[in-house]
Amino acid sequence: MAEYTPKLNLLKKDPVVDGNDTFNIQTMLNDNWDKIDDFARAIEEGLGNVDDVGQAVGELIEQIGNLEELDTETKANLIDAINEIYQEIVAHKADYASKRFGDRPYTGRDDADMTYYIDAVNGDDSNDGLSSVTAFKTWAKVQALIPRFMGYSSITIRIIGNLPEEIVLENILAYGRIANRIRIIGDSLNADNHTVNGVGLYSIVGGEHNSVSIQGLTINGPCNVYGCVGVRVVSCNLRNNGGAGVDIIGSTATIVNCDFGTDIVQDCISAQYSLVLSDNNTGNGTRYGLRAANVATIGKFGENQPTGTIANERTTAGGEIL
Amino acid sequence: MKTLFVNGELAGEAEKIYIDKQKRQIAGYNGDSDAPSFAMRGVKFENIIYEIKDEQGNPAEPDIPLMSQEDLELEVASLWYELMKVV
Repeated sequence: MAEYTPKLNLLKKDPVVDGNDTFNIQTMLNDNWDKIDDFARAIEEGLGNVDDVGQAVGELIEQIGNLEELDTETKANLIDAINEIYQEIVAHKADYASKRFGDRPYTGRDDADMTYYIDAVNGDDSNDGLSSVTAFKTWAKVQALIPRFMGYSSITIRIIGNLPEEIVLENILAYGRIANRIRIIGDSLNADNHTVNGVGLYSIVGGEHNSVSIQGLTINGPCNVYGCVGVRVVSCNLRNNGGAGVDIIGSTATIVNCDFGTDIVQDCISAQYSLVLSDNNTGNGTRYGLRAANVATIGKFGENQPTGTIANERTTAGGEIL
Repeated sequence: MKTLFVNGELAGEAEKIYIDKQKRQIAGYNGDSDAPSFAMRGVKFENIIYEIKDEQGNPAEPDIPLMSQEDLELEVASLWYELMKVV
């Protein structure tokens, strides 16, 4: 004989007794699904109102203490149990804090592509940063919004005008297979209109073939790519006075349609322990155009390659330029 | 072991250092390895002052590169052509 489950009141047929009944999609399936869905919604709504777990537990303790039908012993037991849960939550939060995730979010939204704007002149870090007229002011504000673990989403950061700061991104795992996970681009896509003091990319991996793209910026300082997989530097002016235009260590990177100027950098592209594609780049380094050291490989593609005042290419310690 | 200095700065160290101004190349080799321990291509000899030193720090001459099979065949063909013109 059919019966109902005690918690959610779901219809259960007895295969022995009801085995010959006609299968009813409405009562045997859909009604049950609706009950489960209602239950899930109630749980979700309940959790959605809990902003502070500690506060919620405290209120629950107080509420139970006021229930007149409970005897003293039951109340005491309940309060002890809740206190035990509360202590576990406190311990869990302390453990989480000990992981030193800092102020950055642990994970990001998997279902949404985000675009943030930075405007060093007219922006304000109290804005939402989601449009050019409500742009943030500083890189630090955006950096704090980039999660350490990125799901199937991408983040685009558009820089309006010049940003007199060094852009630093570090310690990001962009899991998933889609490309272009993080893009930092000059809003007009004209590098002459968007100058930054430097770029540092450290320990960023993920995506199908590129985790981070830097596009349409003039970089008046070092551009370091250390321990990253899939970095693209596209249509940028690299103007590091006295250092490498792009210094790549332990990474895979593509440098495309960039200009290194004339006699500003030592080596336009310097690579160590890395795989690098130099695709149609121009300019001249005061030492070398391309420098591959310590088993780094630089592949050349496109019409132009950067040159050097001493030599166009330099290899050492197992490095090669193809 | 020889040492190459370019514009006064250490630029490479190898048992044999070959300098080919025509091809604008400098390369250093160790032992019987086919792969250079260091190399420069597109060298702007007009912009640089280079010197090679031996282990005692005395000036040394660059080594004479062995001719590649391709270059050898071209050289033979060129000589043969010149010979045919004379004959």
